[in-house]
Amino acid sequence: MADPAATAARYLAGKQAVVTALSSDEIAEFVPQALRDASFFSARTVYAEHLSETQADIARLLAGGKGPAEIRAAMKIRLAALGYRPDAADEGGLKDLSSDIRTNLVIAMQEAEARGYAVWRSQQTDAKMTVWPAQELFRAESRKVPRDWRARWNEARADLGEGGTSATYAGGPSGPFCALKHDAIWTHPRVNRFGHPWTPFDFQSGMRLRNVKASDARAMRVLTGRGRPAPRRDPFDTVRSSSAAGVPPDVLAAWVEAFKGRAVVSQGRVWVAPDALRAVRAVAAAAAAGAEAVSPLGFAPGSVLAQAAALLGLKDLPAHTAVRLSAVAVRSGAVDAADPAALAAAALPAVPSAASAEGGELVLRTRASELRLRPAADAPALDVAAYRREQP
Amino acid sequence: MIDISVNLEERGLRGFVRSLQWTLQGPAASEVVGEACADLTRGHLRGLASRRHRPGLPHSFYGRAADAVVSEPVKGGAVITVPHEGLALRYYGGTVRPSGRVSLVTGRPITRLAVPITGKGADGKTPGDFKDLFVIASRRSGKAVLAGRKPGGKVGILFALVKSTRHTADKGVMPADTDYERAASDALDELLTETFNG
Repeated sequence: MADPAATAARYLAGKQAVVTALSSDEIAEFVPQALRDASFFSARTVYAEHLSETQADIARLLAGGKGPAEIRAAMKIRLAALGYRPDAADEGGLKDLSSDIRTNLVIAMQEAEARGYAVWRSQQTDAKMTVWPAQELFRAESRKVPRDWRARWNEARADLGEGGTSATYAGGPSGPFCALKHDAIWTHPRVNRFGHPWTPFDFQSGMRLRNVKASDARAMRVLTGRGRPAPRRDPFDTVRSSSAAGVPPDVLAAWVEAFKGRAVVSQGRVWVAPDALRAVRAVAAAAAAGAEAVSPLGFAPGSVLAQAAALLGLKDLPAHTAVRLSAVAVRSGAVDAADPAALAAAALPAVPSAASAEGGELVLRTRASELRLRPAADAPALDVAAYRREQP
Repeated sequence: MIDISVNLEERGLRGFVRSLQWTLQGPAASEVVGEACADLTRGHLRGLASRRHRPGLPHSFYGRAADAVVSEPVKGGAVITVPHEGLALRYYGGTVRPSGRVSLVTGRPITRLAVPITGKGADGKTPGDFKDLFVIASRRSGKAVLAGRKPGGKVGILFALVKSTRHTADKGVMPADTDYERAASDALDELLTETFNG
């Protein structure tokens, strides 16, 4: 993995800022998880510029270039400049966007989540899974009124049932809360409010994860036999989907609209693609390192799908047909990835100027580039077969 | 940001076995050395957080530093990085001076550092957290402070304004080299054992 110190900042920067008038409970209830996970939002925050600047500031903090007090002050100053005034009844509380408690919560949660992701991602290797196949949830910071993690853990464990989990029984308030790294208990809703396999598992909980060695996991009967968890693929490197059933149409439409083509609704589900620029960079890096990688860049626009279906003699293509890029195509020289931003933009053209079918490929030409897409056999996807920029 | 490089040298029979392990398991060995040292650093920083964090402050400096620890395998070892503002200052020590950039609060270039006066309601805060602060300066001594309305409502002195602050190096913010060597060695032993017996 390239530059792990920058992973957390890249994770946050890859999120789409979304303004919303919804409360946190409404967001949790109505916004599908695939959309939620890819979004940078704050409950009842409708100031787009404030949100994007806060996101950029916290990304700088994650890179080691800013502190929380400085960001908090900037948030307050921005809100004041926008004319924001809390309701008198809310002033100083969580509903007051400019209060200490609210600004600190936003910074702390975003920071903790991005840091948790960076650590989780760095642990997805065979060697680390061999030495530390299990992990433990523990109290890293004290709280005046700690949640009852013992009850939550044991209820989740009981729900998963004997044979459905490797989780230890928590005999006391501090656990042990130990299980294999890919046990279902880590994303069980009783244990984990947010559904990511990395911490935080709840708002300002003060709980964190730590590695448990194979020998210790055996002693605790968490690890039995020779099997070990396999490294997992980063969920943000793939197209993710969640059911759109029961989501108010106006909420769904507004949220999807904010993603500007990175999210589509198709076949009763909402589909979210990775950040295209980040995906191109990752595939280009894999190609340079001689590694295998295939990453979706986003969804082909409707006009491209219609042209692809007509020109290639296909019945139709669903709206969640992704455009994919492979390291093989980059390494072969067929795809020019020297300018990742140009490739990311060209691979998802809003309106291609000219389209034709040649040898089973859809060829999209603009004045500046030529892009060839080939229907994939294994998924509803169009693979980038070739891309070249015109020489100036 | 702090980078710690970890390279192991062991002697005798153990050294021979270890060099064999590096030959056969080089990339895997680098990964587990990195993770073991990262784990050690996280635990060390969490210990500091529990001892040094002042109650009432919203963000735990050392707790956040523990969350920031990442490792990267390099040939024959690993690099531990802590991308966390302020940790390098504590570790290496140094002098902090105003950046000269334009203040978000005053709109003018920053020429003084605002240091919260302990116990006056400004701990963990910056001048941007307060409204309508004003400067009180002594011509004779050249000293200046920022005063304003405290969280309780009373007006008082909140920050000292200074030209620079000096910080002595504190190598104790990171684990000792011997602890890193032990953690790395234990992880390599575990890798070897699990490879053959697991």
